[in-house]
Amino acid sequence: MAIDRPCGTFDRDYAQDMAIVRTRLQWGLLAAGLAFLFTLPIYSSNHIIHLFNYIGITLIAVQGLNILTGYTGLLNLGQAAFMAAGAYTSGILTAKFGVSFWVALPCSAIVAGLLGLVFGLPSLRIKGFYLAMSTLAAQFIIISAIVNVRPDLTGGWSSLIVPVPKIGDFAFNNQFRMFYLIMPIALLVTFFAKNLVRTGAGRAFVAIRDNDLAAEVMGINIYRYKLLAFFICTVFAGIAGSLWAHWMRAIEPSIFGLHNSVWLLGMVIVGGMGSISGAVFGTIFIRVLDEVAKALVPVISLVFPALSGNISAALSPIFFSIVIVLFVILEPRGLAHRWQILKISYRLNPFAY
Amino acid sequence: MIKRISRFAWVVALVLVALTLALSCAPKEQVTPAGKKPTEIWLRGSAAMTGIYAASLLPAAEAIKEAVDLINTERGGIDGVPWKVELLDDAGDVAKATATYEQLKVKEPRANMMVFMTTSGVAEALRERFNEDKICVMLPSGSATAIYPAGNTFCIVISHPDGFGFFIDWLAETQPKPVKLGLLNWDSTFGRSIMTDECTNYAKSKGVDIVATELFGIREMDLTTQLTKIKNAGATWVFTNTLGFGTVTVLKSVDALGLKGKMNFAGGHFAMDYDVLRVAEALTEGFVGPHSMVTWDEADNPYVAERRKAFDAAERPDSYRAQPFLVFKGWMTYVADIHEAAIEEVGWENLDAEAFKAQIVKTKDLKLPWTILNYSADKPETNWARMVQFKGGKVLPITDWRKAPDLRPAQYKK
Repeated sequence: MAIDRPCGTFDRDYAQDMAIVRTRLQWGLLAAGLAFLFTLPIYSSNHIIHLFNYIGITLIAVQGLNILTGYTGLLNLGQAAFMAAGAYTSGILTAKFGVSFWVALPCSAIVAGLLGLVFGLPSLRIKGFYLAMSTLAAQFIIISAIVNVRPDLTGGWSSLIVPVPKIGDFAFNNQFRMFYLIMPIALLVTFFAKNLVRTGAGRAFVAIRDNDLAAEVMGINIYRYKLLAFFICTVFAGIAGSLWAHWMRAIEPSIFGLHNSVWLLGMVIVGGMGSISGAVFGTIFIRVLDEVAKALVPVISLVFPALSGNISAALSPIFFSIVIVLFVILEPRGLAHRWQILKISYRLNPFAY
Repeated sequence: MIKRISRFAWVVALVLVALTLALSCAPKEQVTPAGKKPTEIWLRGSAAMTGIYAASLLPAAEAIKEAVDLINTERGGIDGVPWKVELLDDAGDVAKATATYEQLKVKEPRANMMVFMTTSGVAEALRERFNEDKICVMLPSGSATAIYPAGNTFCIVISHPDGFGFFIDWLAETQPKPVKLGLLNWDSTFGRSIMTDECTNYAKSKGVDIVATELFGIREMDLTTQLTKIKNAGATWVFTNTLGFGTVTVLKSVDALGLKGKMNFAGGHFAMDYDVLRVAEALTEGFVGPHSMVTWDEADNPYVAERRKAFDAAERPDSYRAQPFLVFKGWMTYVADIHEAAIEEVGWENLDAEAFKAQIVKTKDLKLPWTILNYSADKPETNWARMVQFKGGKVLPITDWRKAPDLRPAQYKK
């Protein structure tokens, strides 16, 4: 931790050593950043607010995945399906049973978390590629269950229309209002994740990731902590799913397909596994990349008219794939590592020796 | 500790102030100044121009642009105002489509009517927003969830369930009973839209037994297992609610099993298009389905003759010779007529979605050169169709126009 500290900053007690925000400058930057974020919708277009809402929801799911995959070293290829579990729990409770969104949100987190515990059980016996296959099963089983078990409740393959969240008569019925619902939750989840990884549980996660045998020898109950990591990961997915449902106001199973699980994992990789800020960077980077791909289509259509119809179809996934490959080869520690390097160079300033 | 709490309190206070400021400065609904005749009128919308449906829907988007250009050239736009079109890509993805819609709905001058050439899932997801934002939307077709209860969304093609009912009527009238039917649908909102109680019960009431129902994934290429199951269930007819490459996949699997000639095959409206014919002409012979529009092969229809001439003159790629380039000029002409009728009735100053809706629901059994349209306040989809057949590399009608049965979900019937 000390390596990130600006030059001349020393801790005088444990409280200072434990603090997430350490210096006046950091407090100032945090306040300015939050003020900027929360005033952003005033001077942004509807499209930008929509993009930020999308990033906010995705970030919640990615933070969860980062705790499981990045910190605990357990691969999860079914995060989108756990989002689906949260989305459908919230959607069904609010649309079919008239439950308030504010009750449905924690319920969806718990349901997704419990499902995570069930599908996390194989992690007690298997790991690596085999665990990936097991979570892949979760991806298919959950979606299949949504479609087939109670289509009268879920709508099957058709969309389930979900009501907007309300506080009294105040409805979160546009992007602007949803921003003020999604962003605080995304920030809280990020804050929770940041704190979690500094607790005993967080350190146990890292120990399991680095060497589970050694962790067990040290007295860490690896079963408990593996399941805890699964639970937290999927609770986050459940929250993201619930927000997604009420943001989109309609959900269908194909939204939560395998490709979305892969994209979420890609965000963790690009951001840097095992880094809270990396999850933020990765989410923003990939979502903005998607926008760039969209913006490039007219340019490509102008330069290569014959390709316009076909190349644009593939542009976004092509960019995504290239970015993943480049990051894995050139910067496996992700954007977070680049950010670390930047901070270290700042720390040494003006004594760059 | 106290210092930390006080810092935290400062941050919270700042955030609260920012939040209050933000909410008090919330952008108001943008309203186009009403009253005067504008200098241009916009038709906005989105299409799945990329993604797996792009092969069918990119030409559709191009066809809309071409049709609007033609209307501007031929009749000087709408009430003398140039008509402009802006279609964005939504890739058939709900999140992207919502983003696209959010972009479009606030654009000035406001478009009170939009067109969406996209997937059933997108149409379902956006339905409530169309109603809330008071925007009238036209779709080619949609699932029941996308259009019911009737709101601001209208379709120009019979719905998938009604189309299926139309096919059942034809089957019951022309085939010896009992007819044993197998369903082979895409495992998607679109594919499953005919797997409703209304459809099943209607088939039964007409003496058609649905003996097997099989599904397949959109990316699945081998359907021999599903077809074998349908055959073993004793089906003599197979109906597939798919389009384009989905229908081709069915036909190729039929060929692989050597079932051609041993069983009969049919598909929904969108299966009966030229993209299927182009890819698998030899396999399509005899394939039938309900269809709401004229086809490129009805050369004696003056509208079709004119479109054929224009298509050839524009030297479009052969891959564009599908329904959109044939019928969208007619569709856009109808939309332009609706605009002009609404303007005449309420004036430019009151031109809004309600004015458009009022005109659309007045459309009763309207015979147009390319289709027959029929709308009502509680049924925002047309219900006229014919059975057509792939025959000798052509799509030819085998029945006259008639109304399809009403198979919308029971709760939406008045």
